[in-house]
Amino acid sequence: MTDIFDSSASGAFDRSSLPPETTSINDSAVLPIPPAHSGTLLLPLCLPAIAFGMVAVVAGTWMFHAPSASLFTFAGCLTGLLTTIALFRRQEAAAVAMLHRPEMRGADLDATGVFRSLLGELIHRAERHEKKSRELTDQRARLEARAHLLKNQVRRLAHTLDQVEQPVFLLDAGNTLIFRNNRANSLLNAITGTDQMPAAAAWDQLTSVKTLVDSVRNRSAAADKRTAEVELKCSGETITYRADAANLYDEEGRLAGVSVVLLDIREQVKETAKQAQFVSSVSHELKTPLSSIRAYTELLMDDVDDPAERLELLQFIDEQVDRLTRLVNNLLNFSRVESGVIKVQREDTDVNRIARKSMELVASAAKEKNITFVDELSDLYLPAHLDLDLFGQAIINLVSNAVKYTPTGGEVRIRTRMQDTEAVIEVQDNGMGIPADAMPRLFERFYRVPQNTKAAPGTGLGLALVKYIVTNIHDGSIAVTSQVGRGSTFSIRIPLGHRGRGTRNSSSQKSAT
Amino acid sequence: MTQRIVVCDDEPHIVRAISLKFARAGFDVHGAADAESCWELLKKHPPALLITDYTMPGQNGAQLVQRIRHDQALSDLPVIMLTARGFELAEQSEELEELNLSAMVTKPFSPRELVVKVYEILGYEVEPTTAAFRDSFSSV
Repeated sequence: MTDIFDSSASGAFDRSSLPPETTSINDSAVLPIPPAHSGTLLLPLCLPAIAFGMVAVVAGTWMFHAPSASLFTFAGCLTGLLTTIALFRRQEAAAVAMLHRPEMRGADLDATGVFRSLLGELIHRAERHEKKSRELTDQRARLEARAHLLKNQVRRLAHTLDQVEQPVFLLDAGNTLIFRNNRANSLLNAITGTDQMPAAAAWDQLTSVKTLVDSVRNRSAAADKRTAEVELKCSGETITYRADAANLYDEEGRLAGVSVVLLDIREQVKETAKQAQFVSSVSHELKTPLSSIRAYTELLMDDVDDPAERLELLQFIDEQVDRLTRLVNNLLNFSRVESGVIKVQREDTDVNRIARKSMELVASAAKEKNITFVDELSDLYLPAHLDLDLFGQAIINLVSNAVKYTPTGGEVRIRTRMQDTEAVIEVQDNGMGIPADAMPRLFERFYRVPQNTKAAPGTGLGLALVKYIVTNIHDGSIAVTSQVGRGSTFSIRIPLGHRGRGTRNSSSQKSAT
Repeated sequence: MTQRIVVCDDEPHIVRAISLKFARAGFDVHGAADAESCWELLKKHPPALLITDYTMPGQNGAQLVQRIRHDQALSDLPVIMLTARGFELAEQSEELEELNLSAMVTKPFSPRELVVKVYEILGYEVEPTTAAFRDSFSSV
């Protein structure tokens, strides 16, 4: 993992996740004990005592004329004084030791003699300090452990966020960008066109996202999440993102920052547009034949009396009903495919029979556009095990597409042949053709070739359904070759052969697209 | 005097049905299958009224009307727009408003009612029997 935190900001991030530190742990950990100055302390006491003793000896000798007695007295006094000093030194040493070494404090305090009361007070203070020092040391250890734990947690969370496919940003209460995951980094690089720009400067370019952050920051806790669609220019391409911004709070409920998660919704936007286009197309496709039927019916009721003309109008109505039926069948079959449950009823048949029937059904549409049907069906009987309705629908869709996308006066060829162990059905037209960039998406549901949508109405279901029927239901394959302005050829291949003699097999197949 | 009407729809049945109906009602009807050929017809001989479909290959009905509104000779031409579309047109209502359409008729429509509508727009006396159909129209 790279260093995901800004060096300048990581401190802020770490501190905010830890309780405030207590300062000066070190200062109070050691008890202030003054050094022993017993020698220098006792010297001023001793010197006047010795001086006084000498004065007393001289005075005693002069007054009582007994120099030896005076000397003895002086010596006695001096010995007493020195003994007292030695005693003081011992008591002082004991007191200092007791102060320094807690394990000795249980011993008799009397050994410290005159220092006893002073020592009592000092020990009391020392113990208080020592206790506090121990507490602080413990607290420090606990905090260090917690800080370590939190740092690890933060690292793990950051690592987890790096695995997320969506760009994630985190801002602190002061609106400074303090975290971004790998995806967010890539996004910023793509937007700025460089990986050299500081993150904060790159973030400043995301004005629409920043506006969202500002709006959520000023919101009350009850409504502190906002979502907006934003368009970001990345490497010359405009990408639509859904931005989710939410306020973050600390333990006291104060605003601690704002998180922003972006979701690339290009596909969803396209899908929604496709669905809307589909509904619009279906509505158009259904209403157009209905309009003709209604108009002709009314004409038959109100205006047309001539029997020949009446018959002609009735034939038109009949054709429109066929057209509607085909559309409704396509829609129903498609919804069967979509729902994943298809009742397939396959039977042994001749592929030519289905091809011929399909041509018949599209013949009137072809005639309307003065399109010639060229029948190049094989003379051989091409046995196959097919669902007549579904496979027929597939061929009708291909033939009617060929008619739809071929200009008036064009030509549509339907060819069948045997090739190895397969039956091949080809539908060829000399129409407008399909651009190469549309080829990969040709069989997607709702997809319509943008350049050709205006040429003819449609739902974008036909080819999706053909592909499903051929590959998923009949174990076949479909291929297409095309040249813009020259025409297209769709070839279907299915396994040759009958499965049983004269029996109509029923099977249920559960499948998902 | 016989008044001239132009009908434009990529669906030949619609053109035929409308032509038949309006011919019986005493109009001189001319049909076009797309906006381009319709424009030629309009320029050659401006009619009293145009009935056009919205969704057509190539230029759509709205683009055709826009072109008409910008043409000096045709800018005041009354236009009835036919459409098989529904809710999605609401999104374009502002654009449609600018087209200054005389009426918007949704498919499937009744040719009978269409004639009544045209009578109204052209200021004809409407027979009482057909006047009742007026209410079922959706006007813009």
